[in-house]
Amino acid sequence: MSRFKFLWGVAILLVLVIVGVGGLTSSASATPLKPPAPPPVHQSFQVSQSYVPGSPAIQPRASQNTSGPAFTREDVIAFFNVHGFFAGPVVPGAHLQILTIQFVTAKQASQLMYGESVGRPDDYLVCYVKVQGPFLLTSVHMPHVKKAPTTAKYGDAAFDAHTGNLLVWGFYVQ
Amino acid sequence: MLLKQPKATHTTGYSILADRAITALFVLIVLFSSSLFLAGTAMAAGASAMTPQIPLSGYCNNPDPYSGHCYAERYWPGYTGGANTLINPYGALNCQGCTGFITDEMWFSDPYSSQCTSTAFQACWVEAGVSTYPANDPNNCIPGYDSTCLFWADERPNGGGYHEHPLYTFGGDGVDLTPYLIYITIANNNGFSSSGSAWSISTLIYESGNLIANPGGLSTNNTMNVDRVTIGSELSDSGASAGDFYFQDNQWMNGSGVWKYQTTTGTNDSTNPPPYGYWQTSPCSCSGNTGGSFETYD
Repeated sequence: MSRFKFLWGVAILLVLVIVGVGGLTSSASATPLKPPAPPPVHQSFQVSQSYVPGSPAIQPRASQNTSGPAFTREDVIAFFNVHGFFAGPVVPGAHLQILTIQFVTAKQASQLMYGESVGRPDDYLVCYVKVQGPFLLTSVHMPHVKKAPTTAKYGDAAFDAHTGNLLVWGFYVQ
Repeated sequence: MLLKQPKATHTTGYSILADRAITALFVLIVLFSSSLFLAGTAMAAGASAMTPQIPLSGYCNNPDPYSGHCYAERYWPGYTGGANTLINPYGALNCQGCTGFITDEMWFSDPYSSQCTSTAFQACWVEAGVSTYPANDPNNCIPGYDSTCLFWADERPNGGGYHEHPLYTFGGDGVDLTPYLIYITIANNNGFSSSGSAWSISTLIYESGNLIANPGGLSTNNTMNVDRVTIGSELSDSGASAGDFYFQDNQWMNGSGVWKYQTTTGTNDSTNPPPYGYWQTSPCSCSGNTGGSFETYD
């Protein structure tokens, strides 16, 4: 009888220790340590902060140190033929049309985009592209709004002419 | 005649001693195990901000009827020239194999002026935050892979349309964002008024306590009159999940350019969950207020 109780006690002991240690270790792994957040600092905005690298998109052919573009119009066409447009796929039955491809300054590209910032100095060379869908708007971030279109007829984008990186893309419903 | 001795029915001195020892050992073990378990529970409650770590995923059952997206969010109405929040993540944003995305972000918007209600979205805004991107999305910060990226975007009046800009690459889908702190400030770039034409997007990205990047943007030719600041999570796919993301240091800028912490819980404009959102610490007009801590998860 005593031996039975002893074995029973050991078994319960093991279970409880496992549960206890398990609870400790699992909670420890679920609660990563993190340094305290510093209080917010509000510094004056510098436009150079907007000169970010962009997202890799068109593979450059030429050296990025040359003054001219590092890729061609054909590279742009090939990119859109493979990847489509950024807003989403064209509606069923439609085909993506590339309306224009222009190597222009960032200032000119901004003007073509109704004043949208391109994220480069005014005289910097970029590649502006305008396309036509219509496109389904599946990749659009938006607040909780009262109305949202599901398709857009036109889209545009600007690429860094030296790196091929995407700087901005957008769409116009009409 | 021999009398048959009855079997001893009482225990011997040795067995009594052994039973008491076992009982005492048993009690000690229970106390030890309980303390371990309670200590672990207390650690979890204290460090992960007292929220259930339930891995939930799915899609809300009443998405916004226009966008089809789901939201866990709070907004503060009122004219302002600037807003700030700190996105403090514990965990990751996951959306592997998705065609949509899940985000945590801040929107700075004008839903009322006629120039904005006449746009396709009946509102203008500037937004910035962290989002997942599908592998086949050409706007992906890691081409060809599900990934997690910082972005900003705007919807402008007068035919300006919607435009989106990449800001920073955190990594692949599901990358642990816990080491990061992401401060986002959107403000009038030419003054303190709620009306303007250029809005700066400033970010500060800390990793393990060190400032590693401060990418930004400028929303130009955007003549909105800002009357709403919104924080929260946006979901557009059924395959997403997310850890605990906290929106802290929620601030707005008054007409003199002074930054004020939010003191109210704002308005709940969420759809049904997921994503989930609630005030883990409510903003208040009280000592020590730092704009509350709004948690989202999915």
